[in-house]
Amino acid sequence: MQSSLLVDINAAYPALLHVNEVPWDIEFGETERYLNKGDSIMAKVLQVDQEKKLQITLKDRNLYKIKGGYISYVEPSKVPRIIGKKGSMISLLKKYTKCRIFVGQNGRIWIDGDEAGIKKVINTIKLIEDESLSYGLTNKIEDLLKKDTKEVH
Amino acid sequence: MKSEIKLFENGKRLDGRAPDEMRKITIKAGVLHRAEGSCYLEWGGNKVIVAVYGPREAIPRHTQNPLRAIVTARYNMAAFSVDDRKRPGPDRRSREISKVISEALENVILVEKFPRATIDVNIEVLDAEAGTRCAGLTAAAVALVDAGIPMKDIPVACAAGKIDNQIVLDLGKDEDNYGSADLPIAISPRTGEILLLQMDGHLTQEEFDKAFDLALKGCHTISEIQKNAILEKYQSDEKGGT
Amino acid sequence: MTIVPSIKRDYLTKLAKNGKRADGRAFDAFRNIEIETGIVSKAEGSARVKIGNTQVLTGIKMDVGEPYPDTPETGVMTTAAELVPLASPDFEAGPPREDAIELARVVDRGIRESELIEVDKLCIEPEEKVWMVFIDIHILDYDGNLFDAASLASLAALMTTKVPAKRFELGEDYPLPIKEPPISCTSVKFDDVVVMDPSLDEEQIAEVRLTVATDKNEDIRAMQKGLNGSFTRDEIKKVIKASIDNGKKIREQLYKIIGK
Repeated sequence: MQSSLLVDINAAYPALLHVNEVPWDIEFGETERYLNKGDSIMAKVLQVDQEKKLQITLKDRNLYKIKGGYISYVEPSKVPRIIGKKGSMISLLKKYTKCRIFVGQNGRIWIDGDEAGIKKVINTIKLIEDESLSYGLTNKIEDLLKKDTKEVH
Repeated sequence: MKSEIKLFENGKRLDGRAPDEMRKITIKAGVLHRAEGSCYLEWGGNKVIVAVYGPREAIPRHTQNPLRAIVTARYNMAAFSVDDRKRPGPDRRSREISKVISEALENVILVEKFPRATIDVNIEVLDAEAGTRCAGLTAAAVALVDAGIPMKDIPVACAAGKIDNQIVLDLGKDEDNYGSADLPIAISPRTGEILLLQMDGHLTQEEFDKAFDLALKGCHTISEIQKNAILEKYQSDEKGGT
Repeated sequence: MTIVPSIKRDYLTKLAKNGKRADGRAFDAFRNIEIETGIVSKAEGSARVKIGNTQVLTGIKMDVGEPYPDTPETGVMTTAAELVPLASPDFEAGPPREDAIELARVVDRGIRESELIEVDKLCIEPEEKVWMVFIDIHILDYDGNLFDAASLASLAALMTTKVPAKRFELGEDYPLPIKEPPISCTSVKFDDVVVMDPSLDEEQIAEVRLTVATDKNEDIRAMQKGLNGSFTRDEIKKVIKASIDNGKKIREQLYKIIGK
């Protein structure tokens, strides 16, 4: 029986998700009902030891298995730019695309919304990544997003 | 190998270079999409492309070192890169070169930051004209920087040798085959520490010193070219896209 | 091996059901193609092709050798492919595995069956000496559709190859005698949707793959179905038509670069 799953978190090694760290009461041999190969999850790092063995957990109110949407990838070093000062950049994105957006510290971003909204977020994120070092980026992005949108949420 | 051609006449080499003149080198960082770090380098007639993957978990498990990352450089020559087609696959020469390059890189990479991991450096020689191991290591260094692998310094390599009793910098084609000594070295430019050193041929102690100094100078010149290539990449990122 | 997240699979499938692809292309459209020849000075011919981000470099080497006993006056052609670890985190070092072997053989067949190289013009001494043409495909960056990139790079390289007669003291160098090139077009199917020139993502969720090589008369010269899914007769017909259409465009681009 498997007592833990290996999860790719975009680190140098896969992370361990132990059966005790999931919110469900899993019966012997029933893991597949809850988590399978190919699934994506919103998780938190539980601990890292000396050998950099990583453990993650799903036991928290804000953690769960992800359904639907799209996962985008950026360099982890660009995450602060995508979030922006006090969340200024990410709020712009959410406002003008009407999408739910969750940014992981590991550079993975989950986007949920309608097709057009998701596409817009993907393109905008790419732009932020490419031009991350320039000034006035937040304003530039706001102008671009405004141009494309008729109504604001 | 003996030759009837004079390799050095009237102060000029076969290709017109002076004894302390290097071939033309151009370096470009970040040229491949899938690789985490990459570099394309041209050095005289050499064309080398390097891709870095990692740090990632070392598999199989028994190769893992619980205290640090293992660095594996793989030097490979394309079948069409030489005069007489080379059968694909590592031959003994390629495996030795892979080993000495891995050891040089291991010295400068902060391997303790990634226990149990492996950092894979893939060096492909697409067109060969003497000095491929120096070209490979120099390009690998830039690819590692491009991949964001933490290092103490950016290593660089260059060779010197002897042709017709003249000590020269950066052996070119024919000089490599018909010369009487070949001395490739790699250094950590900040400290001057020697990371790679090989020699074959015949040199007196004096000649060795001369050749070594020349190669050292060559290394420092190339180090500037490496750094410019890296700066260029970040500058273009700033202007908006590569 | 990289696992494809089911979210990605669902996203691509949903888009496809609405007639769209992730990068906005039409189902039968190719990504941007770049062709560059004369890259490797040591090779008798060479070409680098980019389809989107996929990059392949083919080098042609020639040598003098013995002909096959059953074709004593015909030149010899062999094709090999190296999926070097440089090109993808999933490629491992080592002797060619099935995917490299299949790739080489499919590219080889397209060229051989279309009689691109006039092998009967490569005889030096009947039963003793003929020219051997080595086609070596070196994958540099894998982002989907290696078949077409490898094939195109091999064609461009062959069409700009010079027979190294001088080096073997057999006269002056001259262009390799060639005829019309076949153009290869590859499609994949996932969830009943067929797309041409698959991106890496599309290839990773593909159930079945079909490569069709056509010539300038719109005849078929080679075909290869891959992976363990299946195609219907209708789907095959559509793929052939799209392959011919795209084949025309790519052939034009190829001729322009070669300078015909």
